[in-house]
Amino acid sequence: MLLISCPWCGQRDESEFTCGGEAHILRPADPDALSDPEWADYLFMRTNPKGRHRERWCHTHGCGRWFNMERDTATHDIVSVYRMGEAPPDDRDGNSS
Amino acid sequence: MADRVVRDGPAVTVTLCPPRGRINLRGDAGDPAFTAGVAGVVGAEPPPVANTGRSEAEAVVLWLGPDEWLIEVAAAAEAETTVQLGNALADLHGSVVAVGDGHVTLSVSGPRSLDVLAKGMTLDLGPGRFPAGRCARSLLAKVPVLLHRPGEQRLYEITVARSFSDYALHWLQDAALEYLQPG
Repeated sequence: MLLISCPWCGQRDESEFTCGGEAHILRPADPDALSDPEWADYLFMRTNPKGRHRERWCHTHGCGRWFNMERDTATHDIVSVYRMGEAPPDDRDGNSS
Repeated sequence: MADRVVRDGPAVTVTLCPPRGRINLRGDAGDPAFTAGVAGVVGAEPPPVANTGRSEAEAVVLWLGPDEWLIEVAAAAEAETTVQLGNALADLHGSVVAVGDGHVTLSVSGPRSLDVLAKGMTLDLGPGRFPAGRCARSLLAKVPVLLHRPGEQRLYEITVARSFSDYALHWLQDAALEYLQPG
């Protein structure tokens, strides 16, 4: 069970949160121009790393806000938490998001 | 409301509160026109600090999110207050919705009330962690709740969706049982 620091509410139990999958996936500016494989890549393909991963989470049963979280999928360490619209904290370890 | 006191005891008391008016308010807390408009109607500005509430004579304003609050008023005042808020904030981006009938408030009071709540909540309810005026949305026995401590006394109000109220009340009664046994 994770103890997650909501950017607004502070530390809360994981059971209050919903994970929304990988963060920072941009919708293509012109979907009509994409081929089927490119569209499928946008819709379905995710990096699924073993290690640091940037994800969207929602404090569903608290303030109800979405935010971003970078955590390690192998150790469950939470590296950073930042609000929607904010740039991810500097990537000092050369980790790709 | 004496007939609605479900269980009474010195250690903990679980009660179904009388109906009250509730208004869900959304808007920009950084906009002075918004905060002044709300204060002009209910007598209190929406608290900008997370998980806090403001209690005034006519209304209680509880923080739900960075742009969302719950205003508690007397049941009879809900409709009128909703209209007044709508008029006061008519030119601003936001929403005012009367939600009183959709919710039920239960109260847990007495020296063991936190012990009862801690059985079903993951919130940190340790000493000093939930001072007077604090509120928080969380889960109680898997039910989404809004927990609020109105004052210094050990009395905690739990607002749940009406459809969860029977379950939540029975769960609280059961959780309180061990503190009500003689000896």
